[in-house]
Amino acid sequence: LTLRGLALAAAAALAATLTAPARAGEPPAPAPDGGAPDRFPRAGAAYLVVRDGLVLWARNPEAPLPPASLTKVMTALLAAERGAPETWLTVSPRAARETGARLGLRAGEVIRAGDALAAAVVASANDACLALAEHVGGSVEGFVAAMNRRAAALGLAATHFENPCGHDAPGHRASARDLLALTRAFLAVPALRDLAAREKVEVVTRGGRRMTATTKNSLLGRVRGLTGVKTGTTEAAGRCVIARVEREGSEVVVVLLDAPDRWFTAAALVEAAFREGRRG
Amino acid sequence: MVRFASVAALALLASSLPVPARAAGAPLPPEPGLWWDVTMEMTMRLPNAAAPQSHTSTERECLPKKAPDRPPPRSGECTFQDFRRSGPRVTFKLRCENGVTGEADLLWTADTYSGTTVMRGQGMENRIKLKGKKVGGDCDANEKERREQAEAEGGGEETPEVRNRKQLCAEAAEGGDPAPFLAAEPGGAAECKDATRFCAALETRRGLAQLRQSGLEDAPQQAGALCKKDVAAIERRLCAALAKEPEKKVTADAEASEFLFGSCPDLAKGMARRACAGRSFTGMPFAQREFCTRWAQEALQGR
Repeated sequence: LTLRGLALAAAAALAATLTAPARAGEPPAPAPDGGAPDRFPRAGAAYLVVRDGLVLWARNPEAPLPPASLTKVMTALLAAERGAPETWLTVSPRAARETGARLGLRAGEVIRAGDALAAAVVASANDACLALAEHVGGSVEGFVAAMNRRAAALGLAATHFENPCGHDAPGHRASARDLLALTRAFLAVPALRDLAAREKVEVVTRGGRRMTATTKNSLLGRVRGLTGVKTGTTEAAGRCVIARVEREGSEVVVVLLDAPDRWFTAAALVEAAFREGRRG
Repeated sequence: MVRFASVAALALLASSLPVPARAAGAPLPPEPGLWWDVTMEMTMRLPNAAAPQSHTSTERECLPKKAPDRPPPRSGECTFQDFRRSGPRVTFKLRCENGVTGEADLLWTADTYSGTTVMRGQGMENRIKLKGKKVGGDCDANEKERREQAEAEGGGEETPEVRNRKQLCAEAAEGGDPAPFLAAEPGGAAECKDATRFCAALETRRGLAQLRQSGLEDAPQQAGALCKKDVAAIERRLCAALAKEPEKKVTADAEASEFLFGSCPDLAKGMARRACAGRSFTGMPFAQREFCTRWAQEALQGR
């Protein structure tokens, strides 16, 4: 098999595809990403590395796994699509009791929906996340139902949500491939794209109390070209991260689930993807 | 390789277009075209190779607006067979005189296409994933070939292609990139003819690091044969010299690190254990984090 053979095959493919007449209403061609090799078997329980839309390497990309706070990518997307950021919301006792990462909200405090969204995305704050879900969905249960409807609309077949903020729960699952598709939808919203890259935001309650929400993403400011997007950790999910990096017009996205050393692993996958690009 | 394939694609397309015959030496007429972003991901499995080699590239190509409704029945030593079209899907097979066979399975819309071609034979397999997106904008689909024709005929002043190739060869020599100096297949022709600077770079860490990064399985052997040098001996000498340098200096120097991981794996392991093991991502200086990230790439692959 020679270079000439290679070129011929590619040429034939191009020749054939270019013959297509315009056809209205045809579905877009699926990304040719099947069968990507697992080059980094020690990276984590599941991962996907995508450069410029092509999946370079993957491990268990379809496996439904606990996504921890990567769940908030959906929460933020729904809130951005449905909510008005300038409206005020009142923190419920249930939201104020939320565990894990917190902004420190108190029951009865009033904050802007946009600030709750920012704290949920930047600092993964569960109290802000739940308050936002109650505000946007009318109730936690109503919001979760909306999350699952949105997941179905996005074609996320391996995804099911049981809560808005990513707590471990039976049936609360997402695959790396679904999380990639979800992240694409998230990043298509300019306001969310901006939040995903921020290291901190300041939240001021209507009563004037100031709080600072600081990012949990240790890659920010440490990996050149990193533009976010989200981290997550629970006992069942392990350490998870979705990272997007842009360099010289090229984009790499890494989705990494249950990775014991997620920061070094994510950084290594990003660098490997760009090195692979230089070889191409 | 990708450029070659794209050029071949253009040539194939051009050859199958119903353009009037032209006299030898006459310049190609302009061919109305549109710009496409073409991404090709090639995975090559070679005999006796432990792992397949992958190359991916995206290039903007000017492709003809008008094209034949199917591949030509024959191109060079190969014939196209079993051409089928069903809605957005096209499949066909390829059979070559040297025993190589292939198949293509493609999907398209008016503005995009994607699919896979596979070629097998002589113990090897080559899989090419294709993705194209029309970006639009008028262009001359024959311009590139016309310039190359002018270059081949040696007429006129230096074309942009010739200038680009000279620059590519100079940069490759400077960086120790072996690909343009080494034939990609037995009996093939290397792209750059003057290997003097490339061979000189083989005596440097940078040149050897580039050689190891090239993705060419037997690059050290090929480069050694081309330059009449014992690459393994040079690596041993430079690794020994590196071992005498302070580790902090080595791990903070990106060029030294790249050479270390490519050419001195045992030395790299020892240094990485001392510099990285048990250290947190956030708690180390930038240069050392880069070194440990590079080490993580090796460790994640079980090296």
